[in-house]
Amino acid sequence: MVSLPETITAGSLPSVLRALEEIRGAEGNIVQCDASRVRFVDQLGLCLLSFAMRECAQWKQELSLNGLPAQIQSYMARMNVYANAGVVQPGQFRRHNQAGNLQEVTSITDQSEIDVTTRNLAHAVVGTLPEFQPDSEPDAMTGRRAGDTAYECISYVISELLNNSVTHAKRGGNQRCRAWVAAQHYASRGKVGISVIDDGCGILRSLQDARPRLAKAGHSEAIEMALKPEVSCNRDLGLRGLDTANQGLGLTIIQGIVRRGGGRLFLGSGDALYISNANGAWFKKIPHWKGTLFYAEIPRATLESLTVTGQLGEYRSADDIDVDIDFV
Amino acid sequence: MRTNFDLSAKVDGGFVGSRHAGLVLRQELECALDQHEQVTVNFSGVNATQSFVDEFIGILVLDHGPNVIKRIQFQGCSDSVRSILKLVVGKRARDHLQRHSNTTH
Repeated sequence: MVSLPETITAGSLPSVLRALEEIRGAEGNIVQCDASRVRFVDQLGLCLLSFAMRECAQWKQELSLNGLPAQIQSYMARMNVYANAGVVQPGQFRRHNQAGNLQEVTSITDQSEIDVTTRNLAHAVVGTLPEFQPDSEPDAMTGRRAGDTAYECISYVISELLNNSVTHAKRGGNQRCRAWVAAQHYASRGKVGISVIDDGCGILRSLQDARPRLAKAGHSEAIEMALKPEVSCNRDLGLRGLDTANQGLGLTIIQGIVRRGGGRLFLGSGDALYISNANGAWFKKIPHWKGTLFYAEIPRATLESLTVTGQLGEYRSADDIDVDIDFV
Repeated sequence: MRTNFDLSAKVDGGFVGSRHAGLVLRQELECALDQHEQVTVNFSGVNATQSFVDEFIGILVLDHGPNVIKRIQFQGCSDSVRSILKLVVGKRARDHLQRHSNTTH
């Protein structure tokens, strides 16, 4: 029987991925898991559990989470983990579609789903923030309402991550890869957690066309490069299509948002996990994950002050050309 | 002649982030530029990611050169969108120049 750890979170990712490896290697129609110790699941954990359930279902297996505490099972149902995986939730509880009202795990495979998924999730998260008052009048000077900046910040992070997952992750024959996204405001802890994972080609493979020297690089080097501005860009491969002409700024800007917000960030791909918080940044070895895993936690108190405007100047290069733009 | 390109009418919910949307809207903008000398792109009430702006406007500059920006007026941009536009246009103008430098040597 596969034993699940007490916490299914970004912080316990090595043990979570080891359990997932055992689940994937299990034979028989029912994969038995001892889930009696599980005490907490974050957004990354929700995405991974939904992935595991879906993958088992594709192999005609049922993932049985034996002894899962009732409150965890209820939480997973509210977050749509079972339905998202296309499996029937154990027990009598049947959940109605709450998209836009609750912060559900969502999975997508197509670029056309990015914007609507982002808006629904960001609206649902911001709706739980105490400062958000949907009926309030906009500020006479700025035209903005409380919660607008938080909404834009959360939308920005989710959207850019999904752009990566359903575009760049499809290289190397991974056209059918899927991305999972989850976000939640933890009122008692005063934090917002956001996670996006995919089962695509991973960061190393996604960079190799633009950076041939990465052919001999490891996963940690690829993650480092992906976080630097313009290093992962494909300026112009002479091809057209959404995967070919990015500027290599998406993850860089997201890291800047999380750092300026005083948050922490986990970015994993292959056998490497990059962790960044107020104490610094470092790498950790993890059991191999084919695609990409992302989790960020940002203090709610800083969300209303986080905009991309303040950091974009850092990404200008000496060879950028100043072009007069007619703003009215 | 000038025509209006109202993004708020084409984007749901005041936020647009995907390259997919950028591609679709750029194709519409290119049609508008084919038919009119000047286009006013109205960003009022719309916020966007760098990826969207790059696909929407940046690739336009990459393909046609920075002079295409002289035919476009940007209306109602938030501070974030202004900053992103300046960054994206500056980099894609550089990329356009490098592309043409490479092809002439």
